[in-house]
Parts: sequence; C-alpha cells; structure tokens
Amino acid sequence: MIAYVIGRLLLMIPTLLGVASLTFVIMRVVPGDVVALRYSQSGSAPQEVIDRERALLGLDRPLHEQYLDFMSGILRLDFGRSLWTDQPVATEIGSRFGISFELAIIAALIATSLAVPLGVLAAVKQDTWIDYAIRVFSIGGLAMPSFWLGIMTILLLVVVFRWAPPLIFRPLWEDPAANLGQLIWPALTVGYRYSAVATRMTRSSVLEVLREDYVRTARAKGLREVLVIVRHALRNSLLPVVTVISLEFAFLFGGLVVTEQVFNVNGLGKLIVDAVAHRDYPLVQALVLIFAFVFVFVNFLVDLLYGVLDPRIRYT
Amino acid sequence: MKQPSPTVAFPQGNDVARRRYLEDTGSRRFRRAVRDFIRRRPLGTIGAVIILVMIFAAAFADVVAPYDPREGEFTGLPLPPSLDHFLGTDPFGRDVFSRLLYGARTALLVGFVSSLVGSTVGLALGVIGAYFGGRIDEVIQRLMDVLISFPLIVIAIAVVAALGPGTGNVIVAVTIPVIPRVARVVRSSGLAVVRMPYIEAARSVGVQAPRIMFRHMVPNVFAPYLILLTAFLGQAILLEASLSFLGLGVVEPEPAWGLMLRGQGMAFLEQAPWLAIAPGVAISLAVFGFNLFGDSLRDALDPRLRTA
Repeated sequence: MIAYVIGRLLLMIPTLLGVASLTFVIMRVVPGDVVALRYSQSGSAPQEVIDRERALLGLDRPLHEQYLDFMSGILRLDFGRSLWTDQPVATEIGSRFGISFELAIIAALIATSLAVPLGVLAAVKQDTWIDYAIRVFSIGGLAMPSFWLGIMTILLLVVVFRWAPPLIFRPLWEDPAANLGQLIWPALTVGYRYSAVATRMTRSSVLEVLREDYVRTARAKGLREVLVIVRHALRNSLLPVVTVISLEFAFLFGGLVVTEQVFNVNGLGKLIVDAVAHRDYPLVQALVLIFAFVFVFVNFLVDLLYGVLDPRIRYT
Repeated sequence: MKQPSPTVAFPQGNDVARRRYLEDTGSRRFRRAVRDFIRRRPLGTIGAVIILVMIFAAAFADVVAPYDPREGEFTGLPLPPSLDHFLGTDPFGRDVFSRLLYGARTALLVGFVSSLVGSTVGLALGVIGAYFGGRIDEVIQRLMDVLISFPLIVIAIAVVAALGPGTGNVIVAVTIPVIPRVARVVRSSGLAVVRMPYIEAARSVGVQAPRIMFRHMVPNVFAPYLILLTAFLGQAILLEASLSFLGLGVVEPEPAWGLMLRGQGMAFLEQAPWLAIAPGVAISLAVFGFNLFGDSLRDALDPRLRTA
C-alpha cells in the first residue's frame, strides 16, 4: 500500500515536468512578448527602451537559461513575479484561487445532490417515461453550452427580477449571504452540466448492478425495494459515480474560463486568459502547473478511494 | 427488464431467422438494421433526425438562406423577428436565420474534421501502445498523461495564439484534446485484444506487425472508437462555440454560432434577446442530437462500455 502510494506520487513527477516544459515551449512559440504588448498599447517606443525593458525582465537571456531558471524555481516552489503587474505570482494566484475553489465546490454539491437521486430513479424506472425525461434532462445539460446557459440566466434575472450584476466581489468570510448570492448563479449553470455527466454515470452504473445475483437474492428474501436499491444497488454502483464526480471537479478547475467571463467572476479562469493574452510567462506557467497538479492529484485520490469503497481492490 | 438485442448478430438456434439472415443482401440487411434502430431506440432516432436536418441546412444553405450571411443592410439597431427576417437581424443588419444556416457549416466542419482526425490519431496511438507494450507503450502513455492533464482551454488558447484565429486553426485546437482521451480507451480495449490467440497465431505464421495491428487489432477495437468518435462530435461543436465566444475561434464576418453570441449577443441582451437566444438554441440542438444518437449507438454496439 505504502509502496503503491509512493510509486504513484513519483509517477506524477514526469507528468508534471512534462506539462511544465510543454507550457514553457508553447509560450515561447506564441508570437509577441509582454514588452511588445505593453508598448503596442501606448503607441510606439524607441527600440532601446524596448530592449532595456526586455533585459530588465530577463527576456533577453538565452532560452535554456530561462528554462533552467523556471525549472529550478518549480523545485523551490518559487514561481517568480508576474511580468505584467510585477506582483509575485503566488499573490496573484492566491487571491483568485479561493473564488474558483468555492465555485467548484458549490457546483459539485449541486451536481451530486441532483445526480445521485435522478440517476437511481432513471435506472429503477428504466425505459419508462420517467427514465426518458431524466435522460433528456441530462443530455440537455451536456448539450447546452454553460456560457449560453449563463447568458440566459442573466437575461432572466435582469428582465424578470431586475437584477443587477454585482460590480465588486464579496469574500465568503466578509458577507456570506452576498457572496453566495454572487456565486450561486454561475455555480448553478456549471452544476447543471456537471450533474448531467454524473446522472448518466449513476444510471448506467446502477443498471449494471441491478442485474447482479445479490440484488435478486435481496429481493427474493423479501427485502423492501427501497433497501434493495439503497443498500445493495447504490452502494455497489458508487465507484464509477465517485470517479466522474471527482474527475469533473478537477476538470472544472481549468474549465471555468468561459463561465467566469460571462458572470464576471474574477477566478483562475479569467486570470489565465489574461495571462496568456499578456504573454505573462511566469503566471501562465504557474497556472497551468496548478491545473495539471489538481488534475493528477485528484486522479490519484480517486484511485485511493477505490480501496476504501471496495475492499476487494488491492494495491500492488 | 428489456435486454437490447444487437442490431446485426448471427441468430443462433433459430432456423427461420438464420435463413433470413443468410438470404439477406447487404443493402437489405442495412435497411433492416435501420428499421430496428428506429423501432428500438426512439431517442436515438430523434437524434439522427436532428443531425440529418443540420446536414441538410449546411449543405443547402445557399438555397435555403433568404439573405447573405456576411453582409446586410446597415440599420444601426437590430431588427426584431418579422415576416422578412424570421429571427430578426443583428446590429449590422445581417439576417440571423441565414447566419444560423451558414453557421451549421462551420459547426459541422469543425466537429467532423476534428473528432475524426483526433479519434483516428488516438486509435493509432492506442493500438501501437497496446501491441508493442514495454517502453514504447510507456512513452506514449506518459505523453498522453501530459496532454490530458493540460487544461483543455489552455491548449486551445495556445494554438490560437500561436497560429492566429480562424476556422482551420480552431480545428487544430479542438483536435488535440480528443487524441489522448481516445488513445486511453482504445489502448485498454487493445490490451485485451493483444492477448487473444488469433494475434499470437498471426505472429507465429510471420505476419508483420503493421499488418497485424491494421487487420486484426483495429477491427476489434472499432466499437469503442466509433462510440468515442460520435461522443466527441458533440463535444467538438461545443468547444468550437466556446472558443469562438471567447474570441479565439472563428472570426467575423464568418458565420459561427459561438461568434454570434459574442459581443452583439451580450451587448444587446435586453433590447434584442433573439440575438442571444437563437444561436444558443442552435448549438444546444446540434449537440443534443449528436449526443442522443451517440448514446443509442453505444447501447447498440456495446452495452457494457460506459462513457460519461
């Protein structure tokens, strides 16, 4: 078990280093740099000024030096300063991380509390109109782009409730009610899609388990149907459900870009779009690395959770 | 409980069915498969109808569309839906309905090309990894790990930033994330196939590796490949819409659904809600159709395979 955990953790290293290197290469291949972009906004500047600025930011140094710098920085968990705002990258990310994290958590809660009951219901009532309705509802969630759903929500709120989009963000610890009022709408639009994925998985997983012998046995011995479903079917079908819910959560972290844009939420998604647009190399590299880390780490946690949910699974 | 029976399978122990099966010519068998699909899978049929309507709209946009999708009579303000402009016009006086029809072309083009290319590259990588195993497999796997943990939207932003926005580059951006996802599933199916006796038999009579992979492995992992291909069709259309919406995809004056939501759709949200509603409904319907069809296809081909 311990050997397995250590092995898995070690396997993350080449993946994350690969992601870091790929980000480095991609960002250098993308034309333009932060200095050129800054001066393109304020008109033209003499070449010496541009050169001086580049030297100041270290952009004139040979690429392999920059690369080694960046890599050794990762090992020391030092991501440097943003080239655009000159703030430490850790500060830039720290202030946004909480917002994205909270949004993803609320969305996950909404999704789970919708998906599990709906998925079970659809499986139990397979091929009836209830099943069809739930399936159409969930495929609809997959089909509607969440940003468009966001736009429609705003339209509804503005037209019907005369709602005004908030201008400043209120942190949870300052004003919980206002904070939730701000995040609940983006969370709902994301959560709908999220729940669709989980509902479908719950349905097919429960359907599979319902065919098992022990379910027939449970029914044959006269157990109440509710108990058969909850204790025997649902428990044994949880594994893939937990997997999608967790993986989707990891995906949300890097995937909320468009929703944040629509609802004007200042999270990591907006940050990375701006960072790429500004060619803010250190910030982009750190953000991509964080997204990748969350993804890889959640994958790892899911694998460990398997052992908890299903004691038959052994780690070797 | 109703067990879905496979659409084309050799019916064993039933003489009438067997004779009918053997007498069937290819086209007749195909027609029967279609009829079966329609009867057994009503939701899938609805999906197929939506897809066909969309293909029709894209193919005959020139004939069906009442106006030019790229130019209109400048009015300054979007016109509401009327008899002339059935879904209204945008601020540049362009007919929204015509733009929707031509937008189907963009969506289908990006959807088909990127999911086909992405799935096929993934198929190749998955089969190669499963067949050779060892170091080759390990290298491919690690590469796929990197690609899959790379946030989707970042890949897209990077490709578009490097190559500039435009339909061709959107296709590249949408293709890349498909590859590792297909490669993984195909590889795991392939690992089971590689252990089959017929692979060993082929190897022992001296069949070359590429031929074994192409003739014996690929046909046996074709079901998951086909299922993923249809599943990613819808996803590709969604991704294209998101990218165009972010300003990283198709560029004006090209008609694309995500692009129609960008800017005008948001700016005139209150005065002209049809600008935002129509393209969104088009995207949703298209993806809905592909998902319904893909779902039923999955049930028909391989009821055990789960894709979320």
